[in-house]
Formats: sequence, structure tokens, C-alpha cells
Amino acid sequence: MKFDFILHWLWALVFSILALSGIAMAGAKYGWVMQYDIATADIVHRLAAAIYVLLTLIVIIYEMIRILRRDQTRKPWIVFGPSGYGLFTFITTLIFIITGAVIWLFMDSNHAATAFTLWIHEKLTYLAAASVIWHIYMKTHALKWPKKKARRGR
Amino acid sequence: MFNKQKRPFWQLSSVFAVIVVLVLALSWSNPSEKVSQMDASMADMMSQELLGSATVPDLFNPGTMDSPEALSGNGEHAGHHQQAGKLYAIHLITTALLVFALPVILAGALFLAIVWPKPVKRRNSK
Ligand code: HEM
Ligand code: HEM
Repeated sequence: MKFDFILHWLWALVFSILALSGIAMAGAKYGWVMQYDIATADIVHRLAAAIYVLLTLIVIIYEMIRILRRDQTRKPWIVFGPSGYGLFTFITTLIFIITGAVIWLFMDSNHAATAFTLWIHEKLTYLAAASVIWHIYMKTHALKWPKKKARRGR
Repeated sequence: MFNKQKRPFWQLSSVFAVIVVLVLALSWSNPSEKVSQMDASMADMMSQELLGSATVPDLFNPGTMDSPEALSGNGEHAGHHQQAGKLYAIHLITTALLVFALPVILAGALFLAIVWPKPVKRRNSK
């Protein structure tokens, strides 16, 4: 199986865990997502975030190697790209990681910075969640069980 | 909206709708009193309590905006100073990973931001 294909679904999985556990922490309005177990949501969120950071690192290094080797093959499943949804994911991921790191590292020591980055982190979640639904809608064809045409955009 | 091409999307949506209804029903059947005061998100709470009076320099000067809990020594870490245990180990490892990966990610992202546009043009013209 293709590396970028596996990566996409691993990415989608970790993203979903982050979004669900994050939204569960975002207050009583959405707390039902994880039965109001906010302590668990916190641990789950931080573990998934570590994996997410690792995946981001892998994708970036993979893309850098591809460019340095002048690899021109198209990789439609790769999650970071210079245009379209790939670019959106690239930028939002960087913001999630930077704000997440500030929250993570300074939550106990710098409350102004935490409040500010947490606000960005939360509002960005709603934008990214809406966008991913749009993405799934646009790519619906990938959900079909391959019957006649097993080839998808390559 | 409901054309045939998009049917799998609506099928997936209905699966999620069912899950949402089930979870909602479950959490209504055992109401949790403990969260009844939490009707704002953490981000909104903190920005009301802290950001309202913050100035830009506060963002870069830790300690000037300490919360009441931290000042009274009742903060998150008070009372358990020899934090041993699995959870703490996980915390250390993930934090180390984060601190190590962050500069590499930033440098790599900068690299891609500079180099990306060119190969794309070449790809398209082919
Ligand atoms: C797809 C990516 C992500 C999404 C959708 C997401 C979403 C969220 C949401 C909704 C919250 C709750 C905000 C609030 O309570 O108002 C949150 C909290 C948090 N996030 Fe994320 N997040 C993501 C990635 C990350 C990453 C990569 C990191 C770390 C590097 C991170 C670290 C944190 C931390 C430390 C908190 C505070 C949790 C606490 O209460 O201890 N997040 N996230
Ligand atoms: C059921 C859910 C999903 C389906 C059916 C799906 C489908 C697809 C397909 C078919 C592609 C390849 C694009 C092409 O062939 O041109 C793709 C690319 C991509 N997917 Fe997903 N995906 C799903 C969930 C997600 C999630 C949760 C994320 C996380 C944010 C995500 C992020 C991306 C990104 C960034 C790309 C590359 C950008 C692009 O080429 O447009 N996907 N997806």
C-alpha cells in the first residue's frame, strides 16, 4: 500500500481524536462528546497531540526529501501541499501546533499568553472541523466501495 | 444536494447522526451536576478573566498575571512535588518530543514555504 495513502488515514484518525477530545474540553455545551470526562479528554488530547506533532514532522521531512530529489510524481493523498486543501491543512496545522505548544508549556506560568493562544486554538477548531466536513463532501467518491472503476484520481 | 454521486456522504452523515443521538441520550439519562457552572469554553473563560485586563507586554512576561490559585499555592502542582508515576513519565516524554520537534517543524515549514511554488509550476506546465 502507498505511504501517502496510509498517512492520510492515520492523519484523519488522529485529527478526529484531537477534534473530539478538544471539543469535549471546550465546555459544557459540547462536553457530552466525552461524557463530561474532562480529565480523560485532556490526557487523550495531549497523547494524540504528540502523535500529531510526530506525523507533521514526518510529512514535512518526506516533502523536503521529495523536493531535494526533484521527485515530480504526484501524491494526491499527501496531507500538505502548496495549494487547495493541502495548503489549508498545512497552515492550520502549524497554528494548532504553535498555539498548542504555548498552552502546553506555559499554562501554569503565563496566564495571559495561555488565554490568548487558547482562544485562537479553540476558534480555529471550529473552522477546521467545518472545513473537514466540506473536504469529505467533495471527496465523497473515495467512500464508494470500488466496483467497476478501482482507479481513483492519481 | 441529494444527487446520486453524493449518496455515500449522506450515508456516512446518518451513521454519525445516530451516534450523536445515542451519546446525547446517554448523557441526558445520567445528568452530571458537576459541570453545571461550566457554560463557557475554557478559552472564553480565560479571556474574560485575564485577557480583558492584559496588555501586550503581559504576553511575554510570565508571572505578572498569576491566577489567584497559583498565588495562594493552591495551583495545579501544589502539594505533590515529587511527581512520580506513569502519567508524569508520559508527560515528560511527550513534552520532550514537542520541544524537540517544534524547531524542526518550523524550519522545515519555512523551507517548504520558500521552495514549494517552483516545482508546482513545473508540474503544471508538463
Ligand atoms: C487538529 C488539531 C487540534 C484540534 C482540533 C485541537 C482542539 C482543541 C480544543 C477545542 C481545545 C479546548 C479549548 C478550550 O478549552 O477552549 C484544545 C485544548 C488544548 N490543546 Fe488542542 N487541538 C489540536 C491540536 C493540538 C496540538 C498539536 C497541541 C500541542 C502541541 C494541542 C494542545 C492543547 C492543549 C495543551 C490544550 C489545553 C488542554 C488542557 O486543558 O490542559 N492541541 N485543543
Ligand atoms: C471520510 C473522510 C475522508 C475522505 C473520504 C477523504 C478523502 C480524500 C481523498 C480522496 C483525497 C485525495 C485527493 C485526490 O485524490 O485528489 C484526500 C486528500 C486529503 N485529505 Fe482527506 N478524506 C477524509 C478525511 C480527511 C481528514 C479527517 C483530514 C484531516 C484534516 C483530511 C485531510 C486531507 C488532506 C490535507 C488531503 C490532501 C489535500 C488535497 O489533495 O486536497 N482528510 N482526502
